[in-house]
Amino acid sequence: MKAKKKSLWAKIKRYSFAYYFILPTALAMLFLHLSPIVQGIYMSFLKLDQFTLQRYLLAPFVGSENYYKVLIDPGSPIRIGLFEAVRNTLVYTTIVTIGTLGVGMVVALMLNRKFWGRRIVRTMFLFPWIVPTYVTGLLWGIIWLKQGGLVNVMLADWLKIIPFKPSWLSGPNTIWAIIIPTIWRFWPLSMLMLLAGLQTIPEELYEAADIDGASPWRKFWMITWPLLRPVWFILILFGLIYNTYSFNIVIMMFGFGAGYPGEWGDLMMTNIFRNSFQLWNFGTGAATSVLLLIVMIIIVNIWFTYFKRSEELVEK
Amino acid sequence: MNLSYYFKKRLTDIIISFFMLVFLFFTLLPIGWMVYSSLKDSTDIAIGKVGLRRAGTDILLIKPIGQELLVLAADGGLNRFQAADLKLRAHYSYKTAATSYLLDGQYIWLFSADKGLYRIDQHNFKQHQRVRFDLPVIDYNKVTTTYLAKINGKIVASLDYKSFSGVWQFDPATLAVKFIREKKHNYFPERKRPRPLDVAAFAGIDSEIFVQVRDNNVFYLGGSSGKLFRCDAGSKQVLGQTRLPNGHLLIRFNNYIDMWKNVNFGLYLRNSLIICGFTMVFAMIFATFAAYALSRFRFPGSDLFSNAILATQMIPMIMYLIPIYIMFVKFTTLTGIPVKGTFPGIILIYSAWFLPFSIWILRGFFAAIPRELEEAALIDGCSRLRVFWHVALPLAMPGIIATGIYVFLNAWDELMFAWVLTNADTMTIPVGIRLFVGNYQNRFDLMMAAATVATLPVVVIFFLLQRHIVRGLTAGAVKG
Repeated sequence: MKAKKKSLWAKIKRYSFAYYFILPTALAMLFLHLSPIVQGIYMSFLKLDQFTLQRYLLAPFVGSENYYKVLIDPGSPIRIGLFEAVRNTLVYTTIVTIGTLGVGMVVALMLNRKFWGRRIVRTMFLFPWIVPTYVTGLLWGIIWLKQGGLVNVMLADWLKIIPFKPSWLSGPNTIWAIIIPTIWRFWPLSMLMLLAGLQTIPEELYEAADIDGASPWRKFWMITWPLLRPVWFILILFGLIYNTYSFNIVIMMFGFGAGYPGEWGDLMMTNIFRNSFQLWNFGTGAATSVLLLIVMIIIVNIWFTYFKRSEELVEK
Repeated sequence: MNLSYYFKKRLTDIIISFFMLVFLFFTLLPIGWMVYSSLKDSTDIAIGKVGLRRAGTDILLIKPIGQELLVLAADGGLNRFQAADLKLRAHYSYKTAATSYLLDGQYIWLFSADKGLYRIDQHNFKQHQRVRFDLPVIDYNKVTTTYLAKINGKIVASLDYKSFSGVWQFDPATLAVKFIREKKHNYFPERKRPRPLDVAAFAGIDSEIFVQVRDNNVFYLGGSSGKLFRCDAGSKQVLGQTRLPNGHLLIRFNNYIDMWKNVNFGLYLRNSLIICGFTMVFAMIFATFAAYALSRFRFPGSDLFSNAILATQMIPMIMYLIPIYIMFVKFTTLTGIPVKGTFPGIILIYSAWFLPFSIWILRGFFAAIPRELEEAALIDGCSRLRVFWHVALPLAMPGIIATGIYVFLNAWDELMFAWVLTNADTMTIPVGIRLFVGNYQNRFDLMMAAATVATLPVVVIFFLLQRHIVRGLTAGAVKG
């Protein structure tokens, strides 16, 4: 026991250089990541609203009441709109993640050829990705306008595909009104990553497949897609996390930063934000975020294990 | 057979390129729409009028001069017609808004809300003099009417804007300007509003007529959208008609000036630059150290540390928000040092927030640097710090730059923390825009102008450092 401790100490001493290097980061993470998270989790057990906010962590401890309110109690005001938010977040995250990856893949394949002006075209394609997300929300809020929005003008006035001008910012259309801008904003990043991945695939593989007479479709599924595995693993992982926690686009699009996105546009983040900062239910807001965090951890772990297992399968 | 193979390949290539360019067009369309809308009129955006509006060419003044006819229009357009057949002889447009005219001997005085006062030669329409003076107006689009008169040998001008009631007095000889407050009603007692004249006696005139001038036995009628009629005075029959040339396109660059004056954008821009810049620097310094340590040594706790870094990415931002907010407030009440709403406070939070991600990306860069280089330097007797400083750091610099820019762009994008943790003096662009947009819900033009201006710095940074970003990000992705 003693020997082990000593060796640990010796190791620590040996690597003192490394410890000095991570010390500032470790301190920052201790005070600005770990401590708020612990407080946040503790908050979810407190009755914290505008009356008890002054006392903060000394607010009355109510145990699992917040969780009961969020999960079970059918009459609690917190649950109004919660189901819709969960459903929207699921739909939104799934479609946006698949959409960004799909569009990014198609364009990456298009760009992965030799043609004149390739770099310029690639840079132009990156343009939406530099537009800030709050601008994206604002801009698409105007593009979706019922009378004068670009989409309705194009569909109804120019192409005459639809006989009337639908309302995009209310009703069930809303979910598309938030999905499409998000895909528009984020696919260039996937494209860039996938393009970089594509360029590492050796040309000989395709030549060999050509000699065997493989169709382009088969070449894609048997060579390109498996070899891009690490890239799309990362893209899906970050897509899932980032899109579940999407906030800016939705908050800026509806009521121009002040309104309620409606039951088909409300996401988890906007729901929690509204609960916490407009209805002052910090306790239940914290409980909802903790639940969300747990779900996220589970999903990410499933994704990791799935990836590892499929990696092993590939290696076999 | 070979030929057909290459032909097929070339054809598919062309088809793919075509689809790619079409897709590129639709990808960039929203951005183009944003910039285009920012130059349009707000109501045009709302009702879906896609084209730009043209200046109205309502006829304000007609004067027969010998065989010719002088026609002055609301867009600052000066026209001379042949009186007999209404053929356009000369045309020049001063492209003004809310114009009013005054004929004075061989000169035309032109007063407009946006460009001020001109003295124009009646014969060649050349600008004889332009009188510069300060207009008190921030939005000349809101000026509907201007007034111009010659009173006691002096040119007197005024305009309708909110509660403005001043008058400018010009001496025609010296053009000295004298500003008189609160005297508009003395000089211009009646509100001048173009009132359509009663032209029921004339057959076949369906547009609104504002000006009616008699020259011997002929009537000249001028009306809305530049319609000009020549009628017989006796039988009231239309002898001929024509239209003035189109008014100029109204590209409203003024939206930007308007927006700038309404939003205090300069302050937000400065705040955003300070906050994002310092965040980038601090996050990069700490992340470089930590990433280097993590990529080079497997020390006790290194696994825990790297797992913690990954784990932070899963935590929703909103969970930090309330504790950090309250920690800030408590810290201030305990020590008396203000944190919330100050630059150091928000920079600290941002740096900490972007640290894990930066470390994660930078680790890949350091891992890609061959260890042999550093080992060789160590054998040569360099200290660990020197090796880091002189070998590893320069080699990782492209990656550090790329990650730094990425952090900057993300900090530029951040709304939630900034919303809660900044005050009126330290507000960043997203918060400022959100506030502005909430207050001006129907000024779509100003909104788009603000959106364009908020995007512009990022676009400039991106295009200057585009190569670094692309190379850095893709290298990190493929290795990570």
